Amino acid sequence: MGQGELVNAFKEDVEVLRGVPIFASVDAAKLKLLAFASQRLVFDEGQTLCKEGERGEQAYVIVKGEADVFVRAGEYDIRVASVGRNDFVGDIAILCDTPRTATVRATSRCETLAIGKAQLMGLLRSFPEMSIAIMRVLASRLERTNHALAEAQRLAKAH
Amino acid sequence: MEASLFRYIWQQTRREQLWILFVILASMPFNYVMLDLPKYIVNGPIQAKGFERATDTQHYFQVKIPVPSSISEQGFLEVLHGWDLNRIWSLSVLSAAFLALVIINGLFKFYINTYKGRLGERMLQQLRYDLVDRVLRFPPSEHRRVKPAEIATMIKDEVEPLGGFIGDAFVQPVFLGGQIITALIFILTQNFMLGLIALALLAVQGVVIPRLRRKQLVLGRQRQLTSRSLAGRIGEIIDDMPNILTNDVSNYHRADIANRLTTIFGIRFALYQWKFFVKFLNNLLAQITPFLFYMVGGLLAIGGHLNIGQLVAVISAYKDLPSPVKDLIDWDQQRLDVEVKYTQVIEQFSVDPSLELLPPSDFDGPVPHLSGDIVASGLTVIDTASSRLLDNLSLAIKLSEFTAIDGNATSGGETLIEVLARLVSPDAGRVLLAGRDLRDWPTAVTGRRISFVGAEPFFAQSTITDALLYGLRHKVLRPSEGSQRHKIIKSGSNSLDFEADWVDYEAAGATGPEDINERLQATLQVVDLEAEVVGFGLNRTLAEPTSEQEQAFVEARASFRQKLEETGTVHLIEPFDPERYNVQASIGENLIFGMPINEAYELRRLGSNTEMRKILADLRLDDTLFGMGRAIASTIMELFEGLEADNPLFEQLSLMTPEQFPDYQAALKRVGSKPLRNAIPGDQAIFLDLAFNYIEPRDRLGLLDDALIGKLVLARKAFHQALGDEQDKIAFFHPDVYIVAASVKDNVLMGRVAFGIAEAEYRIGVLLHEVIEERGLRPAVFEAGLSFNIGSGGKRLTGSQRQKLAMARALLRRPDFLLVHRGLSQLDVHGQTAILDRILGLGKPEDGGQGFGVLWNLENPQLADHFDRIVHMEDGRVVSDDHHHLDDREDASERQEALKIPA
Repeated sequence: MGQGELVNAFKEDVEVLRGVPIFASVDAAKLKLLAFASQRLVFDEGQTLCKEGERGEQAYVIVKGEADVFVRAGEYDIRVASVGRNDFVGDIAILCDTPRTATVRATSRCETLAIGKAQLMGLLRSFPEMSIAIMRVLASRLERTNHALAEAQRLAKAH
Repeated sequence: MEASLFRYIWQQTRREQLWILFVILASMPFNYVMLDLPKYIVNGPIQAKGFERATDTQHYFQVKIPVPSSISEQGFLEVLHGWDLNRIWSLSVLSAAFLALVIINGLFKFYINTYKGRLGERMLQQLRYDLVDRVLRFPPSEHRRVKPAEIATMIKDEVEPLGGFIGDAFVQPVFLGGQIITALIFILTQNFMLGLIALALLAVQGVVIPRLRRKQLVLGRQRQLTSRSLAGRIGEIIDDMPNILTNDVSNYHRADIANRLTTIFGIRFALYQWKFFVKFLNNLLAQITPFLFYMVGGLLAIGGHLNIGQLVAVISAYKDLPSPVKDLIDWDQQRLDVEVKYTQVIEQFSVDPSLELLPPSDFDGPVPHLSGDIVASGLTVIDTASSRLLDNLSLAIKLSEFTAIDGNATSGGETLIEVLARLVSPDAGRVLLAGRDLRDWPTAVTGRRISFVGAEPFFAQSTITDALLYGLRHKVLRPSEGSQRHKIIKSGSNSLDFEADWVDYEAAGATGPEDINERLQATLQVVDLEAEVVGFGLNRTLAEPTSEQEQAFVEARASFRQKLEETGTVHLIEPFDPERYNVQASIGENLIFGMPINEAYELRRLGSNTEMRKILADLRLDDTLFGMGRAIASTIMELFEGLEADNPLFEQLSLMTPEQFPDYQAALKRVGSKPLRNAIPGDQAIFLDLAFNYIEPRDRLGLLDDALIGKLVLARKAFHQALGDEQDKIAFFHPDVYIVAASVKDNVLMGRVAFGIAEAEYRIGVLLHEVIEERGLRPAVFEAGLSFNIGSGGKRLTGSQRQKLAMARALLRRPDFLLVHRGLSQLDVHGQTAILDRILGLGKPEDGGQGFGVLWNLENPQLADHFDRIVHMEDGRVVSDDHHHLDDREDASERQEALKIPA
């Protein structure tokens, strides 16, 4: 039983993490560490991964299956997105230390890799270059949101 | 208590002291004869005095009693004629007599020492008992004054030396004094002059030495006080640990302790210096006497005023003098020492003369029920900072009424409740309870008919059952058989049989130990604690499961399985199957496959367990597992390289702690690529244990393959075969066998909860409760939960659980009146309302039940609506008094019902 086989068993978790944009540029050794320090967590159809307004201690990378994202508007939950493999959900709450901004509910059996807030923060503290990679991704996400907002405003005026 | 130690001892042990004195006097003739007999042996048979011819005999052992000549002409009565013995027989008989005397004297000494020791020990325990008895009778105002640790050290340590002294207290001075006086009289009759010298020096010794020792006593007292306050301080530090941590003041406390220890050292050192100086002086005086005898006596002899024989006799008589004198001085020293200790201790246990000690709780016959009113008039309570907690308060409450007190923390509501609970005595005014002054009621009535619940209940370390039954243990109701130990301690009229059954089951509405659990369950349901107790029970083992219960649990496994299937959650549990490897359990758990009973078979010792090692070696598994442990260690070392030990990433690491990293690194270096047999035994165990802890779904290193799994199951079977069927070392898992050593929960699951499934524990918990309920096992589980240890001060419970438990305890004995001061403050308003409603429901006299009244200092004004009457208080005064429905409670509940409808 050699070292090679050990790493193989990790391969899937590490590959999944690499497929997540914010981890894409993080080097392999650190991804392996993050994978090791994370847990596999399976949600059955209908179970919630995170609930809007609650405090969250974990973020989830979806390995298999799908989930819907809902945002509460008045008395109704409005579905705003669907997520699947390699999507990272619940990251805002643990990166910004705020309550959950949306509810995520599994629409099929959903295998995830759960990353603890303390673990992610610990990794960022030890490897600052990882923070830079994450900052880039978040900045581009913001830029995209700004574009979307501008587009929405333009459409609203047009009406 | 007696202010003087001697009076206390005399009072308690007069008879024993006189008896021991008598025994000592009775032993003296034997002692004298034993000293005298050698002379006869040497002079008679050995030196042949009176046996000059071979046929000579001597007459021995004639016993005569002298009587007046009117009775007998000879002037005596012969009791024993005695025998004529020749030389050899004389020697034999006299030697035998000597031996007999040695034995008799030895037995006397044995008896006297045992008796004195027993006497002292018994008195010591009696004194301790009396001290604790006194503490128990302290009026409430004294409770705040005393420091627990100081009281404990006084009762435990400071009175200890008294035990050794009590046996000698009277006997020793009489005995030693007698010896000294005898020797002195002998010397005086030989030569008056020399006698005076001896007397004078003794006087000096007897006067000067005790005076010098007075300073020693002062130091001794200081030492006692400083040591005691040290004990008190240490007690406070322990109680204050959280504050010390949150304020970072540990160094301040270190300095404080160091300072106190230095002071104690100084006192002790001064004590030693003085003690040995006095000893030196004492020895000097003792040695000067013979010098004077030689000098003065010699001069007298030379001058012809004293013959040599007398001088020798005097000097030899004096030889016997120093040792009793020294013993007497030692006795005196000890006396002073223990007297100081006694006074010091007694001072702490006496209260202000203006305060009365509580009467002992002796009450014969049935305790009457209370009915009528509580009338407080002109109540004033002033605290130590002279602020008025209660200010001339007058209030009348019906004992059948539900009254709420509403007000803030300074309203005086708390103080009023405490006055009524007799925890605070008013500085002015009085309380009439059912027409009689509250102070005049025996505590047996108020302490059994009125229940009090404070905001911060305290519990001694005990089980939940004992915490609940605490309020029912007033006196022995069913004597135990046999135990007589309590008779050593004199205790007034109380029976102190601790082993007896003290629980007043009837007060709780039960008939005996058989049905008390039902009452406990009902009462815990009132306070919403019953489900939590069942929850405790799930994680506990059943103490003595019956075979029906065992059977029921085994059957419950199948029901549980069925529920998993019905809900489509079979994947939550991986059941234990003797034929299969359980991937959700560690390799070690799979090998043992049971609950270790014997320590040597515990999981953490498996790597060095010889039986297991032999089986692994036979299957060639040991090398594989050793290599696996090494691979795990090196992988983890590589992954975590460069991380600091406090990094949160380590929290997810179950196989080792960051502190162990250097050990593993060193072991990896030592072992290199050596096979198992070339590694030292310590390293073998390290890596084997690491492999034993491995759980595939948790650690995800992909180390298990089918071949290995097959071999591990083989090893398990071989191991079980090697241990045999007795199961005294390990209780093996089996789907059809109840495991006594395992918890209730584990017995139902008979498997492992799978890793990595969201909310698995919660989902299993729901099904588990259902199965327990359906199978009729809830009472058994509840009973197991009752034996949960609540920890010192009840700290293993949450704050709200403690409050609920205290409330349950107060309700269990079905009081006539319930006093509550913010007793549910740690619960949310929803919980408070639900529990309050149930308590008030109990309070209504229905179905022949007695019912009870309530006075509740509210934690939450929202609760006020539930009461008949609301008293608003501010600054120790009543500001308004709202009677909802004073007489007609039915109306009240109807009105509440009516109010609920529109909502």
